[in-house]
Amino acid sequence: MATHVRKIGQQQNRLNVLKDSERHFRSLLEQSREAMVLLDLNGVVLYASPSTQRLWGYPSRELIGRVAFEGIHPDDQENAAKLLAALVAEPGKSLSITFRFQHRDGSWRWMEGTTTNLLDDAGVGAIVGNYQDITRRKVLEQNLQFLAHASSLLSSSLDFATIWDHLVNLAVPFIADWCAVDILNEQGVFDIAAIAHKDPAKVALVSEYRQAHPIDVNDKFGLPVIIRTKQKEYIPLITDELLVTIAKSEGDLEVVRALGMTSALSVPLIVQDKGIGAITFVTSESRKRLGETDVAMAEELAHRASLALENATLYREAQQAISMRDDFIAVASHELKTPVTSLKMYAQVLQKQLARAGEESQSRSLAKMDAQLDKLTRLINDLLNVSRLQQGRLEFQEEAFDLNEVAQEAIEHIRPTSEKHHIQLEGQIERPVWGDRDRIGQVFTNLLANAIKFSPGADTVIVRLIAEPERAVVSVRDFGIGIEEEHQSSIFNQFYRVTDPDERTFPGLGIGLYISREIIRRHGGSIQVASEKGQGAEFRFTVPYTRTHTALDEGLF
Amino acid sequence: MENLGKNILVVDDDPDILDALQFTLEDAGYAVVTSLKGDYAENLHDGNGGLPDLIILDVLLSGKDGRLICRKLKSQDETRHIPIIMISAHPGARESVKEVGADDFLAKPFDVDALLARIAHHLPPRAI
Repeated sequence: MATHVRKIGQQQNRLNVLKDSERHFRSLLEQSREAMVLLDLNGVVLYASPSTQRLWGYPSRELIGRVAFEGIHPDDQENAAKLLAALVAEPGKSLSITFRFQHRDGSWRWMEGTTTNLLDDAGVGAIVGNYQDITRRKVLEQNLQFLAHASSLLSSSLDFATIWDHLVNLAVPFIADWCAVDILNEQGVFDIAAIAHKDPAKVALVSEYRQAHPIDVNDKFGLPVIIRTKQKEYIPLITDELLVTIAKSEGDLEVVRALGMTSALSVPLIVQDKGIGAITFVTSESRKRLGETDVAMAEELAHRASLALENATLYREAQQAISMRDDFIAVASHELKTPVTSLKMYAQVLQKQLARAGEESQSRSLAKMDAQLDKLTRLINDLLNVSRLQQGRLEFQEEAFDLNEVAQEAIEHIRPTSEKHHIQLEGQIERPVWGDRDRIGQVFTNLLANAIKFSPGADTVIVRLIAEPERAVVSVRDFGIGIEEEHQSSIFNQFYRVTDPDERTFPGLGIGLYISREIIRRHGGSIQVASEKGQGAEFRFTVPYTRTHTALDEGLF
Repeated sequence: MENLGKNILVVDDDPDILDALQFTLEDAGYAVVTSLKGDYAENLHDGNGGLPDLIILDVLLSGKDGRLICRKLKSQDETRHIPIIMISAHPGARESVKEVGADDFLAKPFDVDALLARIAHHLPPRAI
């Protein structure tokens, strides 16, 4: 009897342990943040954990007996079916999956987890899925991706119209069903700068409505207020009463009702601290209510668009300034050349007359004056060239020409500027070279002028023409002050001038070498310097024999 | 002087350039007629005091394009034979003056010797 009682007690104990254990697991499942489902091999739900109520809005009894695929997003169904087939084929196999499941309220929840085939497991006999809700993470990821994409698109253009177009097309359908950018123009009228709608037919409707009802800048709501206050306007749910209030007539009401708006949000576009327009986001067909995340996204988007607009404005202003400067230089250089033309004629004719009269010394003075006028002409031309180079408007006239002749002419041209320097020409190029004869001559002149300018203590400059098989090479060598290594990479930059306090100053605009390098580059050649301080300098540049495909063809720079 | 008796018409809208060219060309022995406006050159004909032997014509005249004048003169039988040297402070004008039939081009500022050489080239000494 005692034994029997003991046995019953033991059984009772075991039963209690089992009951405790079941309660324990049930509580675990109910408290769990994860959804747990058991499926048969066709995907029919055998069991759903109570947590599905919280995750998907369905109590477990409503899920049991349903085919799990029904709730999965159409785009994810194929993937889910493949997964189930792969699992059924291999008992014990476990696979991870990410999919969207529709919540009872219609929204899509991103789920991630593992599914395991335990059909052969005597204790389970089902396919077991454990999924957690990763919607927040997913949305965050998508938002970041969206903003990164938006930033790169917005910064890809400096044209306002393109920026707005990019913006509205980005926002639809990611944030809203329709998106419009309104900009306050100089006449104080709001222009629709860009508009996008899921349904193109509605774009016309909105545009027509706006044309018939221009926005009054004195309105107590909407765009005028947003621009004035630089604050957003956010209507989470647009009710019919609201439409009745804002509609100005019966016909109006009809149109705004036809638009079927659910939610609306307008955020200001601010440039240089001034409200210049707004981006408006509206949901309609999707019945989506714009939430906190959408508002944050929209504000961030408007902020980035404002930055892009600010950059575009600054760029445009800079371009206008450059263009004005270049126009000015073009006019100024033309005007400067006119008196120089007269001066040259007088100097040269007087020089002839004095020479005829035997006044040698006065004639020489006039020759010096004439050489100075040539220098002035070069400076004027350099100014014009540098502004044209920057605009890519420097014209090149290509032809085959004799490089020896050009070298000789340049030497003749520069000779009168220095009585002291003897310029030697060595070597010869038998073949003609190809390019703009005058521009190459300009490079010779620039290098020779520098060689003389920077060798006040020397008396020789050597020009050497070297015929390489592929190209002609020109070397201009002086025995002057030389160039320190640290300056050698910068001397070809525009406006670069040596500013060593120990060195005597050398006048010039600092653009001769820049122009020379650009000319040689456009001929597909190169220009280099070799020098040591105190040891003079050697400049070498190349000229092609035949037409090469160069930047000359593409009109670059 | 060998150039004696040769008439050159100079057209430029800058009076200082006209002065300088007159000084230069007269020094070289030419007879010079100057004109500040294009109208005179445009309406050149034999009856109007005779035709010049050569014309020096600025590309950009105030209110007129020297190239249009050049094209007109080169399209008329009466004036077609007169050599025209066009001058401009825009070196890029060289191409466009070729198109209107100008015989030569000089970029301002130019050397007097270069100018005289071009004139001599287009104006060989008249056979007596």
